Amino acid sequence: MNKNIVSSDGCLESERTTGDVSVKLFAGVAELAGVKELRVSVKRFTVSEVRYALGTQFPKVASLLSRSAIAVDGRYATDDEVLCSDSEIAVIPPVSGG
Amino acid sequence: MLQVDLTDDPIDVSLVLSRVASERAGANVLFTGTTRQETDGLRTDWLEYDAYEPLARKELVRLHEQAVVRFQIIKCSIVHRLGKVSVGEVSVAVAVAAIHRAEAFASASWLMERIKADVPVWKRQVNESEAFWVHPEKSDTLTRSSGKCSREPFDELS
Repeated sequence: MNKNIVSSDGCLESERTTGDVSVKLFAGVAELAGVKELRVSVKRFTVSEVRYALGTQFPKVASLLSRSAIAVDGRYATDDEVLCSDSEIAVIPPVSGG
Repeated sequence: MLQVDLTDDPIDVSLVLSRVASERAGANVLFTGTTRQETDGLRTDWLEYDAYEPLARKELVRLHEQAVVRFQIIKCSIVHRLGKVSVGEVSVAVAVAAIHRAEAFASASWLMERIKADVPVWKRQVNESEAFWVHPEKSDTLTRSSGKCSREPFDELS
């Protein structure tokens, strides 16, 4: 019904329900999951749903994931942030540069 | 010439320092971080650095801009190495030019604290018997993501 309604953040309303998103993984998270990029199924297009889906799919990652930030489209995001199906999502485990 | 950079090549520290040259400056600070041979009793043969480059570059630019405003410095330059960095090699270089030494030292120290907390770069510690990614227990990257204010080390120093 809402298929072609575009919200203020540019996402189609139809994209707010179940679907897939692409997620980039780095460092220890990628090592534990065994992949650097994957698609995950989410029930709602939010950052917290991505966290839940990743934790369910990769139980070994859950602990490090809980200490990780999530970036969306090249900036740090909050857990309640709404995603688009083509958002660039990245899991950022505790950083250790320098 | 880029004032911030991520590179797979060895860092030319003289070049980084030359990027902040200014006739207004009375103080120039160059900090370099190098791969040390031993950490917490564990031997390191080399470090491997990875980054989420689009966000890492954006964060470096943000820190560069904040440092200039916050400390009233004249110029700064930040370069972080990626890939394999052997013992003794430079992994990060920060150069600052300021009118006086107090703000030059303070801003270089603040920049290193923020780089280690905010910039999505990770090191993997490697020796002949093991290799592991370093993920500090105490990290404020997550608090940034949760929308809380991040710690500001300079506030504690000042």
